[in-house]
This record gives sequence, structure tokens and C-alpha cells, in this order.
Amino acid sequence: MIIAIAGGKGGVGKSTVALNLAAVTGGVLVDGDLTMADLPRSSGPTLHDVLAGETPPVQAVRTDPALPVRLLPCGHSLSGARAADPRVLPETLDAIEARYGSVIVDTPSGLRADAGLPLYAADACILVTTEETATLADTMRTRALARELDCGLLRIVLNHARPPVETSAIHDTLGAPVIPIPTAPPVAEAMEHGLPVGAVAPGHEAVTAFETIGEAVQSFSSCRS
Amino acid sequence: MELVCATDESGGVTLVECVLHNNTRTARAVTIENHLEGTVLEPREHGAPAGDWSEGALTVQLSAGDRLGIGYACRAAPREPPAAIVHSEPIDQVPSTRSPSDVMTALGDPRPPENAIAGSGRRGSTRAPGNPPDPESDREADCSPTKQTEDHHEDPQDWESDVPTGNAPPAIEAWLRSIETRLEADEQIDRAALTAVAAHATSLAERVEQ
Repeated sequence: MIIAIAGGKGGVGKSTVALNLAAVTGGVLVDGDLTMADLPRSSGPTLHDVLAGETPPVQAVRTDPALPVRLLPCGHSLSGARAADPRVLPETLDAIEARYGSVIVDTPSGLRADAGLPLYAADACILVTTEETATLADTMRTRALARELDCGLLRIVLNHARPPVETSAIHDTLGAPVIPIPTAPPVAEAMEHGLPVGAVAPGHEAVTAFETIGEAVQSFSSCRS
Repeated sequence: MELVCATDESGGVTLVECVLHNNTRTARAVTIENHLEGTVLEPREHGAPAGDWSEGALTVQLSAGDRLGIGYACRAAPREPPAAIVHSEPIDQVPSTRSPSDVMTALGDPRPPENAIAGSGRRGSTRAPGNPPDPESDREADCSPTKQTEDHHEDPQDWESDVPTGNAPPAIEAWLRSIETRLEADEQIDRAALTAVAAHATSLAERVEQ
């Protein structure tokens, strides 16, 4: 099962959701942000190398038990981004799914092919948004793109949700249940250290919210099998 | 095959929402038919009908196990059932209607322009898809904000001044602007965790190599 974590706007918390969802589901986290190139120099193969045909997908997945999740990082160089063929992404994700069963793809924002191809490859997507009007408008565009690419919408994560949280309008407009995630110091602290929130603050309401999303993913997976 | 429908009437128009489930072991072509007493008003995308309805019927193809949501409107009162399966037959497989290349053609190639790569032209070392990697070029082309900041600036905000204006080919300027916009957003904060996990993975890998 391949789940794309998508959103129309950068900075809404897609990577936060992707990391935490990979942690609660045991899925491989794939950093699908092919052009952001903000990761430190890596001594191992990256998604860029896989998409350039230089490394088999499964070999590029980092599985050290000391890591909080199994990870396929993206590359960091412009030349790597140029050499990577985004069209290879769907078969890459399929290969990782065949080996590990579950794949969570952190999908770049926007409406170009680097955002569209993970949606094309995924069995379903989770949209991450905030309450700001401009962000919701971008989220609706990504929703339309997902629909165009036959990628079902599993859940909507309303990040940085401020009480009182009103989710019904977003639910009705985008067409899926809404899971609010509050702004909370443990979330920021965990992200700073590259950890899922559960590793920093077990039992925190954000952890419960991520577990709820994880249950939806598992339930969806059960329905398909 | 299973068809579950719900209706919602508003202002003399009935909205019909259906989920068609292929609960068989083979791909199938299925025709459903509107049973309400009115013309099917198809969903529209960009002003044009988005379905393939013909004379109140719609034929679709579903792989084994797949579900498909189907919706339409009708100027008629609701009744049960609003729609029903009238034909179903096995097919070999659902033909793929779109390839990854189609998606990239439709949405645009996200890769940086070739002449944006450090060393391209001057060194002739830019890697094209399918060509072997050039580690030297990779080092020159390092675009990690962290490294750039350490090497050239005290303040990450100074990144903006790195973006050429008016001197680069339009394709490069457009690409750099898109990156600049993302750097200005809160995206870096969100991606900090992935950066940290990747750094952790790298340090673990290096420890193993030593």
C-alpha cells in the first residue's frame, strides 16, 4: 500500500505527518521532494540515485534499527535532481511496497509532475492543510489533482489546529474526515530532533491523532487485501 | 458486483451518490443505469461533462477489488433504487489510460534546467538521465541551504541575494524563484525532521563504513 502525504502549500506540516505516520504504521518513509535538495550530504544512495537508474530501490532504503523509521532519503544536489527521472518514481514505489508492504511518500507541494507522480502511484492520499484561506485554496487544487489522477482521499489533517476546531466545512468541501493536530511544543521538539512525537511525549494528544490516522491507513489496507 | 447509492434532494434536484464495488475476482465492465424519471445531469469539469453517460447509462471498467465513486444529478424526485447495475461482464484487464510520462507531460518537468547545473557547458559534466554520475560535479552543485549558509553567509535570510535577477536565462530564473519561494515559507521548519533523520542515517552508515 502506498500513501501519499500531500498538500497544496509548503510548510503546512506534510513532512511532520509523513514521519509520524511512518512511525505508527511501520511503513517506509520516502522523501519524494525531488527538487528541494535540503538534506545533508549523504554517504549512501538516495532517491535521486534510484531515479537515475544507479541503485535498485530496495537497496537505497535505510533500515538501521537505530533510526525512528525506515527511510529512503532524497538527494541533495542540483545535478542529482537533474539526473533523476521522475517518471521512474511509480515503479520505484511499487518495488519498495513489494518488499516492505507499506510506503509513506512525503510529496512536494505544488501542481507539477513531482507532486503529481506520487499521487499517480499512490493507492490513496492524505491531505495536510491549515485553516488559512490561501492554504485551503491550495489544498483544494491538490484535491482536484488527486481526483484527476484517481488517487482517493483517505483523511485530511488540519495542522496547527486552534480551538475551537471547526472541521465540518473542510470535511464537506474536500470530502473526507478531518483529523486536527494541535500546535504543541512536543511536536516542534520532536521534529527538531528528527523523531516522531511519540518518542518525545508518549500519550500526547498529537500522538493519539497520528495513531488515529494510522488506524485509518491500516483499515484501508485491510479493505484492499 | 455491488452498487450502494444514496440520494439528497435540494430545490427540485436529486443528487445521487453511488459507490460501485467490484467484489469479484476478475476485472469487469459494468453498466449502471439511472432509474430516476429525468435526464442525467453529469458532473462537469472545467465546464465540460466529465463522465461518459449515454441515454441515462454509464459503462465503466473496474479491476478486481476496486471501488469507484459515481455521482450525478437529476431533475426528478428521489426513488429507490435511484440507479442499478444493468450489465456486467468479465474483461481481461482494465487498460491503463495514463502513463507516468503522460503525467509528466501534462504537469511539467520539475527537474532543474540543464544549464542551471554548476559546471554545465563550462565543464561539460552535467549528468543527463542515463549518463554516469560525476562526483566532482555533484560537489560543485551542492545546493544544501545549510552548506550554502555556512560557506557564504552568516544569515540564512541572505539567501535571497543569491538569486540572480535579469542575468540568467528565464528558465533558470523561474526555477530559482520557485525554490526561493519555498525557502521563504515555513517549509524548512516542517522538513527539519526529515533532515535530522537523514543526517542520523548518514552518521550511522558512516559508522558502519569505518
